[in-house]
Amino acid sequence: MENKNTFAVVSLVLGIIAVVFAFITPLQIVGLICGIVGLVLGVKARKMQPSGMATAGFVLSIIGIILSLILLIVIVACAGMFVAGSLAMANMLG
Amino acid sequence: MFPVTQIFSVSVSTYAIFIVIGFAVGLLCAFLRRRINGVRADDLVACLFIAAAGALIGGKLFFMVQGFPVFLAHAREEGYTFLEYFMDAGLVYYGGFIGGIVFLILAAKLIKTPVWAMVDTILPSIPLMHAVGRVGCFSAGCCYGIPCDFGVVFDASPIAPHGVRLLPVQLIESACLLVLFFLMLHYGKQKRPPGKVLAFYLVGYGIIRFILEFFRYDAIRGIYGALSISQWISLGLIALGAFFWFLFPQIKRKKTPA
Repeated sequence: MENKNTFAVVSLVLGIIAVVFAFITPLQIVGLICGIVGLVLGVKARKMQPSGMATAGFVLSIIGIILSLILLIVIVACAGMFVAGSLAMANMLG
Repeated sequence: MFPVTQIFSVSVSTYAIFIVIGFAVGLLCAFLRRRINGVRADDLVACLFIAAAGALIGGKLFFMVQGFPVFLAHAREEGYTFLEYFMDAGLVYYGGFIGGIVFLILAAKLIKTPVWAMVDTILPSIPLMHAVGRVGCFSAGCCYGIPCDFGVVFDASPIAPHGVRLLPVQLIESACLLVLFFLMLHYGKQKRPPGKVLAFYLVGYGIIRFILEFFRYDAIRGIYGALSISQWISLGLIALGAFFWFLFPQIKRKKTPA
């Protein structure tokens, strides 16, 4: 019983951390990792003993992952293109 | 073409929009197909998002490896840090694919769901997501094709050369990927033996990518000998696909007791 609650609690905490860190550059990668671990624990908690806390941890972890990915992709898409352009320029100039 | 889109007066990368749309349609497709392989909705959603995270990390690491010598030069001259390089790094598809598959398998094992059922459910969504993503590449002007008379001019792109007509190889690849998606959808309409759906994708995309790489013009992606790095990887994936189609069933039969 203790194990099931622990998974749900840890999943919820990690989900909250994932959401918060998603908005703090450059901590999105930390948010992403917390979201992944929180999601795995949330799924396990829901399988062992479905509860509101387990579901909240599951949902928040997903939200944290989504926000981290979106913000990382937006940064990548803007800065990555800049870097790709810079690298291409550097290559051409030899 | 249109690297930036205005949404409620906020400038958003068009490339990012297409990646998000691609992921959403891929998720929907996998969700609608989950009962073919008996996959739980919770497990599918968890594995997909974890695979997406793995795809981002893998795509970035691949990009970073290819541009590492230039990063070192920037680091020495300007104090450019590794974390800044990670945040700024772009995405390479094969790195994303490998990262996504690795994270997917790990996630399936951790949440104790049948790995092959999960792989077979998600795999047909990959060419669909990729097809939409390539439209994003076209918008940004990255992954551009060779100069040609009937090509497209990318004057707004921060990556493609301006004032030159370039083959829209991104759109050609997108069309090929859609064909692959529909073929995989048809093949995956019923449960298949482990490895077959994966083999279908590896061989199908490997051939598409190998051929289209001859029409790519962005040298930043890396050339090794006569072929680009992606072509070498494509050959490897075709070989891996052949292994999963022909040899893997025999190995699995020997391991499974009668």
